[in-house]
Amino acid sequence: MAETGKGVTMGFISRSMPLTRYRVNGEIVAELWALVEAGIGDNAFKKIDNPDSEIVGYGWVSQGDFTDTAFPDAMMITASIVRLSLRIDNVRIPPRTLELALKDATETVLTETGQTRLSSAQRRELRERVRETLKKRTLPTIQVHDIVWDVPNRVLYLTSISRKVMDHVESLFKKSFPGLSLTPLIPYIRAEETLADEMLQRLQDLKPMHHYL
Amino acid sequence: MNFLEALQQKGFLGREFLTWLWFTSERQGGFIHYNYDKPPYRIAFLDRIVLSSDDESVSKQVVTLTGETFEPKHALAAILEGKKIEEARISVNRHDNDNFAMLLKATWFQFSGLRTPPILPAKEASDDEDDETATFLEKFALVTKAMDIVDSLFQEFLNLRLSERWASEELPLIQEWISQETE
Repeated sequence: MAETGKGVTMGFISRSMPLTRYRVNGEIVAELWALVEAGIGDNAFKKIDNPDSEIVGYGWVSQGDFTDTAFPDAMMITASIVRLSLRIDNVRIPPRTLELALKDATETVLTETGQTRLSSAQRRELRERVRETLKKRTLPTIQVHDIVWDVPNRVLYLTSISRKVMDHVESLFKKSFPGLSLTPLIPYIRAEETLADEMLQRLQDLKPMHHYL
Repeated sequence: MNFLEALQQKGFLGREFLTWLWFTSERQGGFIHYNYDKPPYRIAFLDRIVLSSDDESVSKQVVTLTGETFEPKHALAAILEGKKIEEARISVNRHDNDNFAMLLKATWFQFSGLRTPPILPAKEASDDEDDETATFLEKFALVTKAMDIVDSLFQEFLNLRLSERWASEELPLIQEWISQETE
C-alpha cells in the first residue's frame, strides 16, 4: 500500500485550532457535485516550476491526507459540507546559505574564466542559477490548511488566521468556483447581515467611543 | 461600504464588543444574561488580554496582561487611557460539560486556539469512513455552536450599542462599576 499523509495534520478536527470564518458570496447554479469536481479540476495540488517564487507546489488536496489528489467522494462532500485542504509547498533558501554558495560559485567562475571580477549581468545570472540549484536540493516545508464549506448556510471555515494563507484561499476559491467569492466575516459585515434597516442606518452612522467615563 | 472600508472605518466595533464583554462579565461576576428563558453564559477572561487604540495616527500601544501579573485594574487603567480590548482569551460555557475556549481577535473576528468540548477520538489510523465522517460531523456541530455563542453575544452587544439604552442604561452601569473599581 502506498504511503499516505494521513494523521500528519489534524486540522479542523484537532483539539485546538485557529479559525477564520467567511461568507460565501454568489449563487450556486450548478449541481454541487458537478461544481466541486469542476472546481477542483485544474486546481488540485501540483508542482510549480517558477524561478521567481518560493512556492514549489500548490493546490487543493483531500482533507485528512495531504498526499491525495484523488478526492474520495465521502471525504469531499458530507451532508452538503464541502471539505478540502489547501496544500502549499514552500522552499526558502536561508540568505546566508545562498551567500555562501554564491561566493563559492563566483570563485569557480573566476578561476575558470581568468576574470578578476564578474559583470553585474554575470552576477545576476549566477545568483539565479545558484538559487535554482539550492531550491532543487532543499526539501520543501509543507503547509496544509483545511477548509470546511457549509454550502446551505453560505459559510466557509478556514483553519488559519494568517493573512498570507487567507489571500491564497480567497484567490484559489474564486479561481476554482467562478461567480463565487469569500468575504471574511468581520464584525461589521456580520452586523450588516443581522440588522433591520433602521438599525443598519444607526450602525453606518456609529462613531467609536472615545472614553468610557 | 466595501470590505476594506468596513475594516478601516468600523474596525472599532469588534474592539468595543470585546471591551463590553469584559465589563459585563466583570460587573456581573462572570455571567452574561442575554436570553432570559435560558441559563446565562458563564464567561471567564483567562490569561491574556491585548489592548490597543482606535486612533490610527497614534502609534499602536499594545498592553499585554498575562499570567500572574494579570489584574483587572491593569486592563481598566489602559481602557481609561482610551484603549480597547483587541484580543482576549476567554472561556464560555452554559453547563458544566460544554466549555468552549478561544483567543478571540476582535477586529477580524478570528479565533486562535479554539477549543470545543471533547469529541470521541477517531480510531487510530482507522480507514473506516463512517467513523471518520461521524467524528467530523460532531466537530462541525461543536464549531457551529461556538460561532452561535459568539454571534449571540455580539448581537446582544449590538442591540444595546445601537439603541437609546446604551446611553441611558448600559453606559451608566459600566461607569458605576468603573468608579467602584478605581476608588
